Amino acid sequence: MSAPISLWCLIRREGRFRLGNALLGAVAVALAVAVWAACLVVMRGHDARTARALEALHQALADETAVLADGMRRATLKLQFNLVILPAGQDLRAWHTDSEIRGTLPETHVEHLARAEIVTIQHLLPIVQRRLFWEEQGRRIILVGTRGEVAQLHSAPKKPLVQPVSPGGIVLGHELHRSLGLKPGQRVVLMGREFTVQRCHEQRGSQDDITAWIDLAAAQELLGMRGQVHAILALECLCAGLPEVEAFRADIRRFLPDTDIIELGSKAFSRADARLSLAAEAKASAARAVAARRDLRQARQRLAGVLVPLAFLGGLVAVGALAASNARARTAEMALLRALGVPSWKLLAVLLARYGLLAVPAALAGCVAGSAAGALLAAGLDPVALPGAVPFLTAREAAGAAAAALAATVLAAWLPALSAARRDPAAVLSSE
Amino acid sequence: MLMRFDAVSRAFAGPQGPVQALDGVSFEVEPGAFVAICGPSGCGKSTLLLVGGALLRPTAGRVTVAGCEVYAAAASERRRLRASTLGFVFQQFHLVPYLTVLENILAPSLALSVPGVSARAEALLERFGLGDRRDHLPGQLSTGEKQRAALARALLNEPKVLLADEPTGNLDPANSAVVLEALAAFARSGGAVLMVTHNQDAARRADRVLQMQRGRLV
Repeated sequence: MSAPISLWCLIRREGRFRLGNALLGAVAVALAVAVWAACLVVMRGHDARTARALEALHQALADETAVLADGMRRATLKLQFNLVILPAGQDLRAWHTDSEIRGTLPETHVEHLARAEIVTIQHLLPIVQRRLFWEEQGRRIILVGTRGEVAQLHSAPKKPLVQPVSPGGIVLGHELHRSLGLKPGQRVVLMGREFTVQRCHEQRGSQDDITAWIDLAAAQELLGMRGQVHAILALECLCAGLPEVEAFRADIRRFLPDTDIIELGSKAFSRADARLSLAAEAKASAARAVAARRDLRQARQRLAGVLVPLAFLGGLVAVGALAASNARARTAEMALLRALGVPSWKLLAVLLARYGLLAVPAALAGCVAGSAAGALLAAGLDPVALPGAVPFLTAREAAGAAAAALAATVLAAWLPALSAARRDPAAVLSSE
Repeated sequence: MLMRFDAVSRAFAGPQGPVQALDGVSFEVEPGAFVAICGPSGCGKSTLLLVGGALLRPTAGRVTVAGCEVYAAAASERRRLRASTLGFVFQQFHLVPYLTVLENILAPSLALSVPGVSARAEALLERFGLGDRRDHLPGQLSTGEKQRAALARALLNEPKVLLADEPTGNLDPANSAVVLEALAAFARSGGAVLMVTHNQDAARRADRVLQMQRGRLV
């Protein structure tokens, strides 16, 4: 026995009858939703990539800043040993290239300077220094004689920065003690005099590695420089800026006019300046990168702002046109069914359902396709790799899109369907 | 009295002023009557059928069907009247192309579902020789089968009045005879048939023939 025909049966049969029309409507909905989803995913991909790029940038900047800060700290530390007082007319080229100092200063200059009450000077260290051939060991070395620091007479004694070499002792640089196999406590002969190895330095990567330090008096005696020194190191504990160094230099010249004053720290200042410039450039580069990403986002947002409404409008127009076409084709049936007494709301439901029922799966398909296309597009547009999950739409957003697509589809098909469902059946049937 | 037309007029707007399709038409149709309305094309026959079928409001006059003054009633009441009391047969059949023959016959149940409608549909299928066509679509039917399916559809809800507009207009003599016999049988069972035709052979099957000319009964 057959069952009475139901509205649902009518909807299904009507929907399948002009399936192409219904599918075209679904495609229009899917395309509109896909454009929206793609734009959303592209923007999200952009944001995620921007966040990642900025995170990496900030990390790199932080690392670089840390390195620079460390460099600055080291450079600043070196600024504490920042002046060397040399005899006037010293050939600086010889000093820089051979560590050779031709002239000498009276050792008494050290005491003058110590009494000068130059407050920024914390430590004074007279030295003799010569590059020579250590005949007993067959090595070229730099011999440095130092007596330790001269106390500042105007201020409280400071803890010495440099450990003095005791009389009869010798301190060896890394290369010397390593290659000669010398250890503290062993005895060595230098220029005919016997010394006891007092300390062996770790590697410093500088001329210190081929330097031997002995007591100043012994050095003066060996080099025939009694009462004379090659240089006085003014060891400044305070961290001074460049202007302060100039004032300091002027102070020393006032007391020791026959000297040249070389600022050992100028290299450090240069390095510090370079590091500061690097840091500033890195920050500016980061700021430019941020601005570029922001500009790119705005450009993409503008494009999406055009594309999404266009796709939405296109979908509405397409569904409306298809609904109008279908309603025209269904006019005689609608009139007949109305003549049979079928209420117009049922006919309206039949005409709307073909698009409404497909709108939800079409919208979901659009979400999937649009998300995939958006992810591919974002990856293609953006060189920044995104190792984590691709920021697809959430289920909630997809459900919202489906609901919106359903509402928009029904809205677009409403007028043609209503017009067909309420058309005067007498007019249609009499004209057939 | 099942149907009564009382001074019914209907005018349409035409390019050269109003056209009077019906002009003061009055007549009654008793139960068991098979009435044929004849006349030349454009004389108002189909308009009369639409007015009687609660589909076209007259510009003047009253139409009463089964005791209900049709155009004084609300639209929903007219719709119910069409579903329960009136049956329609059209020259063009107007079968729904995506419904099977059986579903087309059952289509009036979308408007008004009465008990036993399925059994009646099956019985009508058999009665009109469409038993082996029940699952076919209208496009797969012959012209005669289409009209028989349309006639079965009109009879599904056991109407009191059957309105037929040129029901044999597209049929061969054999199929015309089947349809006319069905209409006559309906009248014999107590229903009323109002058939518009310009086929004199068809009109001769009616027990009363009304002639129309220029919107009037003559």
